[in-house]
Amino acid sequence: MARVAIVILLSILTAPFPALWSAEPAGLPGWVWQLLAGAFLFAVLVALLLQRHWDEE
Amino acid sequence: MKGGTLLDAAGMVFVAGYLLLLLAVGWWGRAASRERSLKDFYLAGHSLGLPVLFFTLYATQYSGNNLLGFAGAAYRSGFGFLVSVTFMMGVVAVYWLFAPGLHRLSRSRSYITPGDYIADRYGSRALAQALNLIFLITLSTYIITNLKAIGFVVELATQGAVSFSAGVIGLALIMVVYETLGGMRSVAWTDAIQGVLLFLGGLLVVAALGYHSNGFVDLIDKLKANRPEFWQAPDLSAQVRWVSVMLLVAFGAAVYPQALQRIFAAREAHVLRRALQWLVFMPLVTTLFAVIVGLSGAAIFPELTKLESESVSLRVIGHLRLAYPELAFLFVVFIAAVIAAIMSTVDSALLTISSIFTQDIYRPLRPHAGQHHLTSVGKLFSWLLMAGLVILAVDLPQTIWKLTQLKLELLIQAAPAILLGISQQRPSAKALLTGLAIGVSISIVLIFADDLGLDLSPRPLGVHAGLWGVTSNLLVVVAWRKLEQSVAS
Repeated sequence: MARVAIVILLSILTAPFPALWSAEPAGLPGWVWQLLAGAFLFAVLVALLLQRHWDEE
Repeated sequence: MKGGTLLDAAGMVFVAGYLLLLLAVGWWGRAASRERSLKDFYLAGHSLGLPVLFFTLYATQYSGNNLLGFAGAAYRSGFGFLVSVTFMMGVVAVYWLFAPGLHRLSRSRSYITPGDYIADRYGSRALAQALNLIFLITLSTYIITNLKAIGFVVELATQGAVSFSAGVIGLALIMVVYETLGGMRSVAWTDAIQGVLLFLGGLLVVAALGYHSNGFVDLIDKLKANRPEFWQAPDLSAQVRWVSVMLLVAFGAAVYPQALQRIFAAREAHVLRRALQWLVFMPLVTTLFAVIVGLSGAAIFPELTKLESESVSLRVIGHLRLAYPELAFLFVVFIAAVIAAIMSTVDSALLTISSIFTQDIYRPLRPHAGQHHLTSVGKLFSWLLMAGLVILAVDLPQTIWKLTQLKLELLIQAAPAILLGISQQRPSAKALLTGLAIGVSISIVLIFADDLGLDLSPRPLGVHAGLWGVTSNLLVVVAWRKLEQSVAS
């Protein structure tokens, strides 16, 4: 159950939070950069979870 | 379409060469088979090493919808459709929950199909067959929509020189030939070729777009001028929709039976782990590219209708082809990539349905049938099934079209049984069957509320019907388990 909760929590954290970003780096809204960075971090975290917590039981 | 024919004579020769290569690889797969058994035919004798396993997982997970439908959705929705990048990663996150245990069990208990796994873990053929019914409906409709897409792409790319029906029939024939030649081995090896094409196709088009638009600066300016609504900050309902679609796809697509069989087919646990670690990054170079192509299309062709936007990727390629006629061949690779993406999805789904029929339906009726006979039955079934699905793809009845809308909403109802099956403390089959029935019913009622004359939103509070269904499904399983425990004590 803890692992399912981790996946759900990470999924929620990938959602856009536009209130946190006001600048428009390179002409794109800040929340778009947040989504891109969030996606990359999500991939890194999942890769790490696969590496560190690969339980066959 | 602007840009003229995307596949000229040289392009057609390239695609024909690619298709012949698939047949050659299919034959190679047959030559490499070690025995005529279901394990060898449907799981390549558990022999899939890292490169092939990775590419077959990749090519199977990314259908033609990724390159065509996702670009169209990004064209219409804007940056919000970046959710597609994250939900494809979410699928791998869900694999993390159950793939290690499932792989171990599949080796120790010799599973061929997901039905074997369910029947073994819950001691219930009824539950296995109920899930098989869900798998058969979702996979058949998945194949039909992908066959339709391939016919559409071929007709559009050749400007009608190859008709929709001829495209569907010709490519279906090629798929069923190489699939029945070498089973999983042929499908996985052809998936490897298709995966490379899929990756290269997206990469080339995005690179050309970046070069064409001064490192995307011109495209961003044009997009802001043409579609300023894309710059509006998402509100709470958009955030809820994001999480809802993320969870629906992550938990729904992770239990596709063809993906489960690839977990069975992995040579070693560490090979599977490494393949998944690579797979989780692939949305950044596949789905994200499709979104970029869709957004570029919105900048270049801002006035497309919804139907026209479905072919926005092909329109963008036509536009680039006009700008850079000397690079025409690169765009042929993209067309080949779209065809490859569709074929790799259809062949895997077809092989899985064939295995479900042979192992879970036919074999219990003929328990003394030999492996040779069963393999032959599976091959014959593949041909008959493909013929039927091609007919439906060419002339799709409205009732089946409706079923395609249910794909993930139905599939996610199988997730509790699949995920909980690896656990030592599993719920009973009765609890899961009841939960499944309730989850499926709720999803269907919500999705078809309009048709049923009910005053219900298909997405109450912005949450997808399938998620309401699977939540009810799980609640029933938990309540049933508590009841069983209290009765037992």
